[in-house]
Amino acid sequence: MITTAVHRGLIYAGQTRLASTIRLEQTGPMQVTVRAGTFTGTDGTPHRLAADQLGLFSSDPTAVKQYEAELGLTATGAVEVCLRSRIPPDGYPPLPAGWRTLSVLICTVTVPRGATDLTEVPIHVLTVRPGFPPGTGPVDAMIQRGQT
Amino acid sequence: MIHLEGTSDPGRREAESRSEAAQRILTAYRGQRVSLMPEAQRAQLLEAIAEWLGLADADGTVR
Repeated sequence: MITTAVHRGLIYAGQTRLASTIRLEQTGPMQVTVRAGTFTGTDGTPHRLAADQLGLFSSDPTAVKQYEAELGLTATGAVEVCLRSRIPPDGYPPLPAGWRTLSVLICTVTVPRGATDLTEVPIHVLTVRPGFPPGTGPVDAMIQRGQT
Repeated sequence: MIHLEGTSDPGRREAESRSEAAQRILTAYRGQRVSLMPEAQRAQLLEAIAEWLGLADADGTVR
């Protein structure tokens, strides 16, 4: 179940140029597709994910498994998605050498042991909305930064 | 997409006690509100707690 929430993937751009047209869809019981799009950094630098990317999940028969995915740049500067898994308390495997993360794309997904379908499992994904969260504005942001 | 699977030693996991396995499940769900969990996750959490307390077998059967 693809979803998003503040502190779990949902980011407001505020007064920055942050934006993203990259969308994620569950395209199979244990499959998430990252649609091609552009992630624009806070400074306005665009990073184009040229093609759809397929993320394949699996469960462990005896243990809870966790996944997370990041959007980043490979050592050669290509925009790529890296999906990593772990079985707690073991850590995630290291990111590829030379990798530079642009943003978390999929927050931690907890896959129940033996699961064969993620439809009921929350998959919190990156969503960038313009402006500020409801009820807040530039002044609130400045207060939080100690600028008033 | 780059897929990186975490490694885990099957032998170690086999040897792990039932209560440790249950505790790992509890850790994995830390910070989540039970009332907001999907039914499948809630059921697994309940089984883990029951196992941890020695009230259920590993397959979730209440003793």
